[in-house]
Formats: sequence, C-alpha cells, structure tokens
Amino acid sequence: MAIFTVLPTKSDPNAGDSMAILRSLIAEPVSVVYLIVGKPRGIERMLEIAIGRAEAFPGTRRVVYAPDTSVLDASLLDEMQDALPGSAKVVSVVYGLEDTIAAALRSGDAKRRLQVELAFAIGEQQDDEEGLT
Amino acid sequence: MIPSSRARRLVLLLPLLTIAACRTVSPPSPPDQSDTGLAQTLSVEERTHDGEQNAIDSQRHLGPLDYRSRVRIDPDREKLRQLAAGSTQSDAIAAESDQEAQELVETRRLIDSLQDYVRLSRRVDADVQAMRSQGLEASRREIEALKDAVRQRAEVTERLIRVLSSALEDYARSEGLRLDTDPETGDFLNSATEEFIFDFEDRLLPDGEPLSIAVATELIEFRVQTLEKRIARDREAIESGRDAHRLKLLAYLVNSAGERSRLHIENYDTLETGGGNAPKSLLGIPEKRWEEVQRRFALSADWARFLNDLRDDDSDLRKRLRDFSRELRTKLGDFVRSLGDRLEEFAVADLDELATVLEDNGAGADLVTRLRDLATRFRSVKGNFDTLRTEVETLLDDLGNDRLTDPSQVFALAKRVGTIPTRLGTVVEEIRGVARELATVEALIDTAIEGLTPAVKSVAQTLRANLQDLAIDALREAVPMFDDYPAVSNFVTSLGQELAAGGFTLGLSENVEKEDIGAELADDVIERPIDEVLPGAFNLDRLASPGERVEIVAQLVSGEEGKPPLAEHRQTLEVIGRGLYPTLDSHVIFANRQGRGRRRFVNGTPVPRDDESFQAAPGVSWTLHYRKEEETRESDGWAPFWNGLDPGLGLNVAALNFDDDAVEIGVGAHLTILGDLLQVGYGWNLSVGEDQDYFFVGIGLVEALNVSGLGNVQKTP
Repeated sequence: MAIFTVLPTKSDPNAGDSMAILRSLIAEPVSVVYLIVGKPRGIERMLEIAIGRAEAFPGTRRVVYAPDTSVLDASLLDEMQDALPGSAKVVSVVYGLEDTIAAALRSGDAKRRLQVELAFAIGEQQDDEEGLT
Repeated sequence: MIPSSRARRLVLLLPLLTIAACRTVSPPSPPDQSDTGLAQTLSVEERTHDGEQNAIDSQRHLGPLDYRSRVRIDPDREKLRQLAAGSTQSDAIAAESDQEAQELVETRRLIDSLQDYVRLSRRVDADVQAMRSQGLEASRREIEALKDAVRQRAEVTERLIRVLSSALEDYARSEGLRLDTDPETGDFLNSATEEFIFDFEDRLLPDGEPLSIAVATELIEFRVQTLEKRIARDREAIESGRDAHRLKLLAYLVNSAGERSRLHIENYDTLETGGGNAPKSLLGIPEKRWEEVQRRFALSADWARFLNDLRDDDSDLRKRLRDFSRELRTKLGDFVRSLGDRLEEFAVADLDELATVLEDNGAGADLVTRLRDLATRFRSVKGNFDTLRTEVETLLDDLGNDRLTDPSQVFALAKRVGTIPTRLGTVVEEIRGVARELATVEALIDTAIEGLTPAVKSVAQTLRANLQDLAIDALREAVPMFDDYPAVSNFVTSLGQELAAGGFTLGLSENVEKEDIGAELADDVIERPIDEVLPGAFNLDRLASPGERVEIVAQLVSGEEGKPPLAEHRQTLEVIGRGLYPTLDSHVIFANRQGRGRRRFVNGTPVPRDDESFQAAPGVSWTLHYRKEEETRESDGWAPFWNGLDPGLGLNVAALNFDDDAVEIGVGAHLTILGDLLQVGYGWNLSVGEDQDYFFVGIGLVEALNVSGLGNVQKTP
C-alpha cells in the first residue's frame, strides 16, 4: 500500500468509493492513518509534513487526503470535529492501531512537525478500546 | 430645692449602671488572627516576684499573670525554621523544584538513548514492513506482537517529542520570541516565532528520518541547562526565603479603658523603660497608673459637674437646654405646623367621591384604581405625619421642662431628636410622590369627565374643581416649602449630636490616648532572623496594675517591606494580683451630707432634703484587695466566688462642694466590690465647719461607662 492516498472528489467518477477506500486503509493491520480534510490555509505544508513523517516509519504510517469533504460521511466529519473540545476547527485526525480516532489537530498544529509526530505517536500507542488520547 | 425622689433616682442609677456593667463584663473573644503554628514555636514563662516559675500555655487566652511578674518568651529556633520552610511560598517552590530535578535526570538519560531510539525505531518498522511484504500472511499472534513493539516505540517517541517541544519553546523564549497562539487554529500569532519554530522543527524531524540526532542533542542539552538554572534559582529562592524570615515580638499593656502602651521586650526592641531608669511606684501603685488616675479624675469631675448641673435649674446646662428647646420649636415646629396645615386641607373625600362617580359612569378602571390608590396613600401619609407631629410636640415640651435629673434622660432626648430627620424625610418624600401622581392623573381625569353625560358631568366637574383647589393647588404650594427641609434636617441632626455628647464634655474617647496603634511597624522594633532568635523578656513590676491586660504579639515576617506577616500570633493575659495588693482608681461618688442632709422628721412628717443630698463629686480611691489562690491544691471552694466579687477596703479622697463654689476636700473609708466598680463609704469634709460627715456611694466611672457601652468600649485590638 502507498504511504499517501488522495481520495476522489465529488466530480471524480469513483467519488462513491471514497469512504470504502478510507475504511480499507484504516483497517489495514498494524497501521495508523493520518487523515487530512478540506483545503485549509497552508495545506501544502501540512501534506508535506504529514508525508515526511509517514516516510520516517513507512511500515506503520499512512496519509490520506480528502480535498473534498462532501465525499465523506457526515458522521465521520462530526466524529472528527468532536475529537477536540470547544469550537476549534479540526483539519486532521489520526486513526490509531485499533482503527479509531486517537488524536486530532487544528490547522496550526498540522503545520508543525513536532505536533504531527506526537499525533502519530499517540495513534501508534492505541490499545483496544482505549480510543482518543 | 429638689424633691427627695430625685435623690433616690440618682442612687437607683448606680445599680442600673452596675447591671449594665456586669452584663457586659465578659472577656473579649480570642483574637481570630492567631496562628497556632507560630504559637507552638513559643514557650512563655512567668517568674513571679517571689521566684516562683509558672509555665503559660502560649495558646491559652486570658490566663492569669501577676502584676509584679517577669515574663520570658523563648522562641524555638528549629520549629521556627520548619514553620518558615513550610510557608506556602516555599512549599510551592520546593514542589516545583523537586519536579524539575526529576525531569532533569530523565532528560539527561535521553541524550544517551537517542541512538538506541533511532535504531529500535527502524528495526520495528522494518519488522512491520517485512510482515507486509509477506502478503499479510502473519498470524493474529504475530500481528499483536508487532503492535506491542510499535506501541513501545511510540511511547518512547511521545516522551521524546514532549521533551523536545519543551526544549524548543525554552529556546524560542530565550531568543525573545513570544509563543502566543490563536486558540481557534493553533497558529502562532508572531510570524517570527513561526519561522523560527518551523525552521528548527524541519531540521529536527527531516522527511523520512525518525529524527536528527544532532539537532535533538542540541535541544536536549539546552533543556538540561534550562532545568539546571531553574533548580539553582529555586534553591536560592528557598534558602533566601528562609534567611529572610524574621521574628518580631511585641507586648502591650492594655488598661481597663482600652488604652494600650508598649512594654519593652528585651532583645526585641530598643525601647527604654522610664528613660533608662527603673519605673517608680508610690503606695504600691505604678507611676503610670497615678498619671492615668489623674486623667480619670478629670473625667469624673466633668461627670460630677454634669450630674449636679442637671439637678440645678439655674445651671448653664439647663439654660442651654431651654435655648435649644426654643430654637428647635421655631425651626422644626414651624415647618411641621405649616406642613400639617397643608395636609389638613387635602381633599381626600373629594378624591374618593370623584373615583366613585367615574366608576359608576364607565370611566377606565385604571384611572379609578389610581385615584383610589392616591386616596389610600394620602391617608397613610397623613397618619404617619400625625404620629410624628405628636411626638415632635411632646419632645419640644420635654426639652424645655425641668424634669431632667440624670444623664439617661439626656441620652433618651438625644435619641428622640436623632430619629426625627429621617422620619420627617420619609413623610416629605411620600407627599412629593402623591403630588407627582396627582399631576400625572390630572389630564386623565379631564378626559374621563368629558365623556360623561351632562348631568353627571356637572357633579364630576364640581368635584374636580374642589380637588384642584384643595389638593392639587395645596400640594403645589407645599412642594417649594420642602426646599427648606434640608436646612431643618441639618439643624435637628446637629442638635441631636450636641445633646448626645459635645455639649456635656462626655467625649470619653477623646481622653483615650491613641498611642501605639500600628506599633508593629515602629522603628524601635528589632526583627530577628530566625537563626539568630533569642529569648525575649519583659517586666510588669511597677508598670502593670491588676485589672489590666497584657497582649503579646509574635509575627513571622519576610524580609520584604510592606508585605503582611507570614504568620501572626496574639495572646492576651489577664493581669491579677496574688494575695494582698493595692489598687488606685477614680470614682464619681454621691455624697449625702449628714446633719443638714439627714432626713429629719417634724411631728412625724419627713422634711425634704436639700440640694446637698447625694451630691455628685469626683474622688480618688486607694483600695486593698486580697486574691485567693485558685490554681493550687490548697485553694478552697470559695476562691472563685471571692475573686469574682473581688471586695476591697480602702481610703477615698473627694473634691466636694457642700457650702460654696470653692473646692472642699473630703476624706473617707470605703468598701468596694467587683474590682472597684461599686463603692460605699463614710467620710469627713475637712473644709467645712459643721455637718462634716457624709455617707457616700460611688462608681468606677471609666469601667462602668466602657462596659455599658456609653464610653469608649474596651476592645481587643
């Protein structure tokens, strides 16, 4: 499996497969998925950092980018937003070893390598139903 | 001449004052600012004049202390150190320092383990990749084992990342950068900070690498240095905090009027007792007490004159009261009368009737209700005013009459005068409210009348005209009169105040010296660092008298100026005499001259006493008391009762005025009870030729006034 995956947009013919692709990546054994959604300011740096940190541990880390949030289930987006308390906008989440959201980042955090590395590390420690850290 | 009942009233006043005194002679409640921790660092010991040593529990309030004793206060250096170290500030610093020390150990270890971390990380990841390259054929057990390995690696990663984050933040701060972020996005608010952080992180965590060992080492070493500096600074703060803690000891002597004077504590102040000379005493009474009794004697003389003036119709006091009465009658009386006249004219009946007419002919319910409310409000105002007017008139009569025979009547009058301005003010405000409401409804009334049938309209118009003449116009004319009210109110208030105190030299509080308030800040206090504390000691001999109190104040202070004490302990002790001891006090006595003042009977009918019966006079009393031991095995069961009653036997000198205005000296013997509060005796006027002897009762004025709340109430500062 590739380290970096871009999900189809609404205009793509396979837009309807987006959720299935995402779910299959999340379900991959011994892997953590760093999902970035939308087109927030500084998205290029966010992607660059996420991919760079995933390449440091290519065995376990994956990056998925969903530029078009309309291809994702509303429940998934809600779940992402609920991962952080308050009204801060979540732009990326990490699905941990046990395939649930383990960490969430705001746009400013997603542009910092230390924060992204920390999010990956938290996802990689996820154990059973431990859930969000 | 006064009727004999007046003399009886004067004598009756004594027990009343006594009851008031006894009711309120309760020990002051323990000070609420005491710090038991500081109390436990102090040992207090009394050494009596005959060499006996008594330990005093430093936390016991109002324990006994002999008036001739020396008191030693021994601070425990080690306990003080512990108390200082345990102060909130030091605790917080020490806790923080411990946490930093622990972090320092762990951070140092990280430098050595960076290579291992990178190696381990790569190996774990290689194992996972190997599993994948085998086409995911691994068993569930193998997958779980790989997950565990990944978790262990990630745990180390997280610890490492958190340390590196803290280090980088320290580094940025050391460069003078602010780390504030937008709470919504997490973006740095300062672009220079963002650039610095991004650049550093890009080098620390390069693409495809677990981390740069060189950059990580640099950061961790910086963190180590920061922690080392912080720990050193904390230790310094704790040490300097301990060094800076100082102990202050002060002692006060508090007399029965609440006056405080500082006592010299050896090693803790630079005060010198009596200008370096040993304190003096006369007849067993300290010099200071003689001075105090001199002041009390002057006060007793004022009171005696006041009491005698009240009984004398021709005295200046009585003339002034009559003048007051006339002035008050002119100002307050006129105002009240004119206001009353206005209110009498008010057409409340017309108001009611008009409301009924309008209601019967379908006028709005709102208007009718408002008119009825107005009538009700007015009746209430009128009722209040009538009561007040009656009281004012009675007061004016009482002020000018000749029935004032004791101070309580003057105080009662003052109280009555004092309530008038507020009550009158309430009436004035109520009338203003009625006037405003009437003005508001005038137009509504006119509109309502216009809608009536011609027959009813004429009745309503008549009522409306009456209302206009009697109520609306009357109130309009009355309202400007209210402008005079503040002047009347001010006059009555100041009269009340003058009656209560100023005119009669009863300002006892003016006689109280305010020395030593805030003496804790005085320059002559020596603050001893806790490593240099010494025992403190003070003497009471020839300084204190039984009935007074000693207050010991200990403060643990920091070196910083203007900061409140870190801990404070206050202990009050009761100064007593043990065995036989003398007291000196001033009394107001009521002397009943025998002979001319003695009750005579002519043909079985009592002859009225003359002006000299129970004449008030100031006196000074020297009294011997005996206190039974209560705390020893030998003490008998009566000791508490005997000591509570505290009887005394002694001599009295009084400044009498039997025959003329010249001062006459009387000497007598007396018995006292309740710590010289009440006195009864027999004496001889040395300055007159006949009917020299007199019977007298007396009262310790200062004590009685203070405890009954009429004077400067004794308080524990």
